[in-house]
Amino acid sequence: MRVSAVDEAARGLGIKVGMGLADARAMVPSLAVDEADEAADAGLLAAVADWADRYTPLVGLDPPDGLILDITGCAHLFGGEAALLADCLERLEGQGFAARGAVAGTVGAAWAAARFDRGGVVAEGLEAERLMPLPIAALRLSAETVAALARVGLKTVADVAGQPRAPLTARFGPDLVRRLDQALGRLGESITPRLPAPLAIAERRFAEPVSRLDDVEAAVVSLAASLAAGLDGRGEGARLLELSLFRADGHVTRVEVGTARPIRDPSSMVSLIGERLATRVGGGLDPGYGYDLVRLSVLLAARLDGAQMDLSGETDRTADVERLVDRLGARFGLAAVTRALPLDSHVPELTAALVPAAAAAEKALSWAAAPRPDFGEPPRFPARLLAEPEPVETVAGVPDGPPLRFRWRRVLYDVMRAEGPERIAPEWWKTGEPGFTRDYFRVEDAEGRRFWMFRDGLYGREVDQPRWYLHGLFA
Amino acid sequence: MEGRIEAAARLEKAGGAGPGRLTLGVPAFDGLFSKGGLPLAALTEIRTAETRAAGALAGFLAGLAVAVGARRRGPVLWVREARVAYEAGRPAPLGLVHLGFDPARLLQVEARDAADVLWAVEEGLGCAGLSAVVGEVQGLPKALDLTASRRLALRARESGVPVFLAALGAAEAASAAATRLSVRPSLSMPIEGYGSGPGLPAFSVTVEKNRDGRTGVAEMEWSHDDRCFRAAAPRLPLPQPVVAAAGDRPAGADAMGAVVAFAGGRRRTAGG
Repeated sequence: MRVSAVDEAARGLGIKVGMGLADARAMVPSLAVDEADEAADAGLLAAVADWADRYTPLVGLDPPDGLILDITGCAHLFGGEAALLADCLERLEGQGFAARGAVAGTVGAAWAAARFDRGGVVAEGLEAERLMPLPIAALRLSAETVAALARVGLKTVADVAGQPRAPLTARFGPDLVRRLDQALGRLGESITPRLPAPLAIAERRFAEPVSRLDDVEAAVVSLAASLAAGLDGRGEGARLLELSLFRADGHVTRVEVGTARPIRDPSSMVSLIGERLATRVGGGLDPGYGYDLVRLSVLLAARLDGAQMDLSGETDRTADVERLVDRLGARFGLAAVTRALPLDSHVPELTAALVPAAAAAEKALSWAAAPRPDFGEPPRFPARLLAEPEPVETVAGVPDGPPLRFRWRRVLYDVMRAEGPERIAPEWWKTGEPGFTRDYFRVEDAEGRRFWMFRDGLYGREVDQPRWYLHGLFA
Repeated sequence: MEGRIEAAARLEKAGGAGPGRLTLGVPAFDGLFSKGGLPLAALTEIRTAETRAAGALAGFLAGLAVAVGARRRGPVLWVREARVAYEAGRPAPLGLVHLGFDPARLLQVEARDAADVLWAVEEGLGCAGLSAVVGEVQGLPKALDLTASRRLALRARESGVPVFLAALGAAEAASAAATRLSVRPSLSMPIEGYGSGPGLPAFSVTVEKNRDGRTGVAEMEWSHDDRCFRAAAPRLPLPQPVVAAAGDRPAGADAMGAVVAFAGGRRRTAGG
């Protein structure tokens, strides 16, 4: 067992990362040891990244213990880069973290300055000057490369930067030169944000954290209005909205709400979010010490032209229904609000699929081509299909005939009328599972209950003792 | 204005229901309502005594949806408690096609519990673009108390969107609904040339509560070809054993033997 991380106090006592645990205990018998939990560390880092979202939506992870924030265009909101950095470190310290940070023009320079230098803001154009004296490991190289460079006497960034590039690449691989170029800004580098970058953001910061939900709601209303203005200017409407509530203690609550059609009306946005909050957060938010930042972002948008008048009122009606789908979707999830999609299959359970109403294309939902009974025929497909065909015990008359009586859910039924069989072959090429041929019968019992039953498998040819199932209920 | 009133009066006299009323074309049923039919801008409860009558219930609801669809355009919102889907399955879209209801008009929601069903039904009542709202719950849920049903009844009256609240395997209970029906399947009439198989969907519909008239029982069947209900004669016991004599038929049922006279008239209203 080896030491994987140490705190300041342990470091002061001479304990080092990588040291054997037995050696460390020998040096400091009273050493407090916790087993490393990488998953928990990763979870904690993700939570901190969530929190860091308050500074910029572009937050990248630098595991195991770093975050990279792209603060382009965000610093002025906090009174400049230095102020942003100070605010960030102070808040992290307030939450009990030991953190170091740096701001620089390139990811590489900021990384090096935070980890190998005193941190702070690296002034624009001075990246090279700050980097040169730092040890070569500051270039984000693998441990092997660092060791190999050390063997040939290249110990600082300046040592490497002074060498001809071609031999360096030939000997240490392309990574070394690439990292150097990235750190010095000769080569572009973008971070991989943890969360998709929103298309539009509106946010409100509070000098004092607010804990009254009325205040939060008022903030959301004003944010929705400002988002709506921006969307209007671009002729777009939101399809996916996200509300992020940043609690003063670092906890972040996020709720997403999707819509059936692009929306721009602030009051619809607010009511959808309200609905989602009510269900997602179990009816009540826990503001704790209060929220100090409320952000509303548009994650997805789609074209939305100005409302057009339609004399028949058809557009109104459709829009009305779409709004309903949104409201139901906000509460139950858009996937729970469905429409029926016809499928081309003879297997009863595969004749239709329930698809989210918000995503369904009207044209695909036409049942005009579906098979229907001939004139004068009774319905041949049951009004309801059970969730699964349910096994029944039967007394059948002749091997190929319908059952005379059967027991379903512990009740005995006498078959008075029956019609069948309607033979349905398994569509193994669709399900990928072999199945038996089913012989379906429409039966009516002595009280007028009508059922749809099938015998699973052909006597003798597919099975010796076919089983019976009840699959549907006729009207 | 006067012309319109006259026209409305003519319509009422001609046997057509008033604007907010629905007739099924079954005299034994329609005759129970003194004001010209089942009130649409109101809460209608439909229960089945047994869960296994779910097929009959779905068929009856599909028939109502077709009849309402002739007057109101737009989709039908069908909200179902998750338990119902588990106990009695879901309405099969292809089965609805066979009943004459176009599944393209179906907007379904599956809700966790009865309280959520009621919430969704109420949301649906606020949407004038719907032709009807159907809520389906299992048994007599606690959430559906007198306060809840009063609330729904009020919303239905304000909005004008017809709402049918169906309870599977439920006992009779007090509620604020204007009408409460109880539906069970009844023996079907054999179809000529169709041998011994079951015939058209047949129901026995009991009006258990009627704010605008009397209570009673009506036997009817649903013709998907004509897309209308029509009166059905009480069935004679089949020439096979076991069937009990129809001792529980309504007293007035004998009078409704003649069947088809209404089918043609209904076809114009319901088939459109």
